[in-house]
Amino acid sequence: MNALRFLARIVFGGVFIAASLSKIADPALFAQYVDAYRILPAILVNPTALILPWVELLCGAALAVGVLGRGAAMILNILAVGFLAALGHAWWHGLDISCGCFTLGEKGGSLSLSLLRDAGVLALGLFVLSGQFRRPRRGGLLLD
Amino acid sequence: MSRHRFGVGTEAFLLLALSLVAAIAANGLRPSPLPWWRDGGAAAMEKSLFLAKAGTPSLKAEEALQLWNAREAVFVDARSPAMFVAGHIPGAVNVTLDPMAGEDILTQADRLPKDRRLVIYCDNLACPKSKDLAEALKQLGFTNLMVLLDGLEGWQAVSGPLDMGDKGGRP
Repeated sequence: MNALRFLARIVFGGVFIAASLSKIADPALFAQYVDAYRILPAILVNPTALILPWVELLCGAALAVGVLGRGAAMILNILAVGFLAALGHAWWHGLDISCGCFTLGEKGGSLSLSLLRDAGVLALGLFVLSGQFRRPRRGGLLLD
Repeated sequence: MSRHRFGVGTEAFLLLALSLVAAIAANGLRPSPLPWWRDGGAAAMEKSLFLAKAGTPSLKAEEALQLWNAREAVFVDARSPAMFVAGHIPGAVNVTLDPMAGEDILTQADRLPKDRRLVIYCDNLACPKSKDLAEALKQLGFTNLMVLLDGLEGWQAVSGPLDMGDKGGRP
């Protein structure tokens, strides 16, 4: 079980690291995606586009290497819930947009598929979070 | 004995603070930093950047409206048939890469005149369908293509008219 939690932590952190890279490379383009969701007021669009990818990267890395893991797991789960809500909002309102979750400039893509994927990521995240707050068993293998 | 040096809240705060510092530093080191707060100029810059990436000439909604009034272009709606029925630019032809459309792109493109200017649009600035369709039509030998930058959202912002239903086509 510990090995499974260890693996889950690496994968969950890795997902966010992977998602952050193209956004960090092109914040102006990412800002367009953030704007297209029509959730945030205009004044918050650019700060979000600039800071959010770094939160993903640093928390993903922290979780993967096991430093500040509980805080990182907490933040990434909150983000996963937020992303799911944003996607759900876009899907519900029939917005014709790309997810902008991983690769910016991705062709078309289906919002419902993105929703499913993000739900899977969240499930993984909750598993990781529960592991971060679990007391280690006396004499148990301390992998996290 | 606790194996954690900090509380959860402190850990989260540290990570967020580090992210903020990294974001400020990385953006500051960028050759053309993204402005932290949007103003008109910044928004315009972002739009032109987005279009340069799309690789297709573009026009603004006001220019599109002029072309439409003068009947100087055929408007192409790149969204799904369902969205087209819900509201489109009057006279627009629905041509979509959507696999649910029932017709492939070759058949649909046959309905478009090659000798006229085509103005392609989808929902808004960030929707990819107009840019994707422009690419596809370019491959099929269409040369006089333009993408309506803000899509239907910009069109409505300049009070462009809309039609509903599945009757389109004014080539």
